[in-house]
Amino acid sequence: MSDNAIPDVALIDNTEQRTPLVLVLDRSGSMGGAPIEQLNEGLQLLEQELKNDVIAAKRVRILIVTLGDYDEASIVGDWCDAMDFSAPRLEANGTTPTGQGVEIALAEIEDEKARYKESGIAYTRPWLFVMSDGLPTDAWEQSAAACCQAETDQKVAVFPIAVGNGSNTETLGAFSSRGVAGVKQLAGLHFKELFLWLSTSLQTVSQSQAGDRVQLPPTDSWSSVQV
Amino acid sequence: MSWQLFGASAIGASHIAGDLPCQDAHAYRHTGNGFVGVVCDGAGSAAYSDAGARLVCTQVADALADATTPPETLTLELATDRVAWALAGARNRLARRAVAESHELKDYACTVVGAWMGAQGGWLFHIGDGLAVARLADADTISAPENGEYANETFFLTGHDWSAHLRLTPVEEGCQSVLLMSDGAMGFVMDKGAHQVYAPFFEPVARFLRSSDEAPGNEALQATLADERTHHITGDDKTLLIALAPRA
Repeated sequence: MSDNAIPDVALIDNTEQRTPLVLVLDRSGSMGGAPIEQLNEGLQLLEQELKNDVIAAKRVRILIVTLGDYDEASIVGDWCDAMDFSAPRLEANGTTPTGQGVEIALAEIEDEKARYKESGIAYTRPWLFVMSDGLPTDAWEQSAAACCQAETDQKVAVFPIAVGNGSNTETLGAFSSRGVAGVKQLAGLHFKELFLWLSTSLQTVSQSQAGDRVQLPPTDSWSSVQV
Repeated sequence: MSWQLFGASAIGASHIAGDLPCQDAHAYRHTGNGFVGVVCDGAGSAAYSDAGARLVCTQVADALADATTPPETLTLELATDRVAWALAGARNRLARRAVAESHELKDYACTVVGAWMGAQGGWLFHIGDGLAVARLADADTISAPENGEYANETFFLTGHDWSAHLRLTPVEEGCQSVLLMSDGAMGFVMDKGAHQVYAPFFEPVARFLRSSDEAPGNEALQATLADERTHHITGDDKTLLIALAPRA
């Protein structure tokens, strides 16, 4: 405290503002081995980085939805503040019900926003990450259209991430209102760089005030150039 | 006896880190028995919003300080007209400056939180976010922020529909203090939910300022808003304007 500041003043954070984040993560059989290991390490890094930022730790809210088993998208745990987030250890197994996973994510986002409204808590636009290394194995078209519409209606910001050889880029593009241009291709298995970027971006967004046009950090540390 | 007026704007941690200027500004004027106070928060996304905020708060404060009618005697309609006229004047100045400097009006985007007060009663006026509180003996009158759905979206004087977002709130007689703040200061000046002033912050501040002269009071308020502890609360600029009513 500076010497000439007013004495005995409490400076406590009474802000109630949240940035919701849903990660839809592919843990299908094809993610087995190095990819799932790297994904798990990336999640642990995300946990650490968000906890290290005093403001983001209080404001970012996380929910994880996984794609796997026999076309089963499931919620891991429940919504939690970043400060209470504990990265799960995912095991690769099963198929890729991307449509179902995104449908669950969109519904959860609307429910979460309704809870904020009810409690008078301000929030920034929710983020939806959809990460997959393969083609959806369920009926995904309707869910993709709903996801595009939600993004167009500014209900959510969608970030599709293609892992692997890029064979699913077009399909993932159907989930974004920007189409294929909205899809980021994960270079190699740079999950750590991806989650570091996500953490840095969330720190920026969670602190953003009205009128900020949030400039996200560059993605070249983990994303390969789209051709 | 007249109102005691104090104000300070402190740059936020993220503005320091991003090599941005402080985009908040404030101005106050004594007017006979009353005062005018204005706080402007320049939009983070607008290139010259710091200049916009400075110009708007001084212009609006000057224009309302020149008004001869005591504000507390006006109807809502007349008070709205008078405040809108002052804001439109500042907006026109901004528009001319934008043309002269080959910029766009929106490059100067800022919000407005103001108070136009007579000896005791008067008006709070507001476009966009930030917050104004008039403290009365038994309750606080609050002019709350207006955001879009998301907390990081709001409305600006430079917007084409600014007059639709202008809000006036009457302040009854018996007002003891008025606080005007940018959204960066809200997190620690107000309580959770921003329904009332957070007493552990404001009481020591008010006590200190009551017995301070203007210059040392402003210096101490500035140092308080710049306190490192605020960096754990917000990365944004923090402005607080405090008016303490004359003691009867």
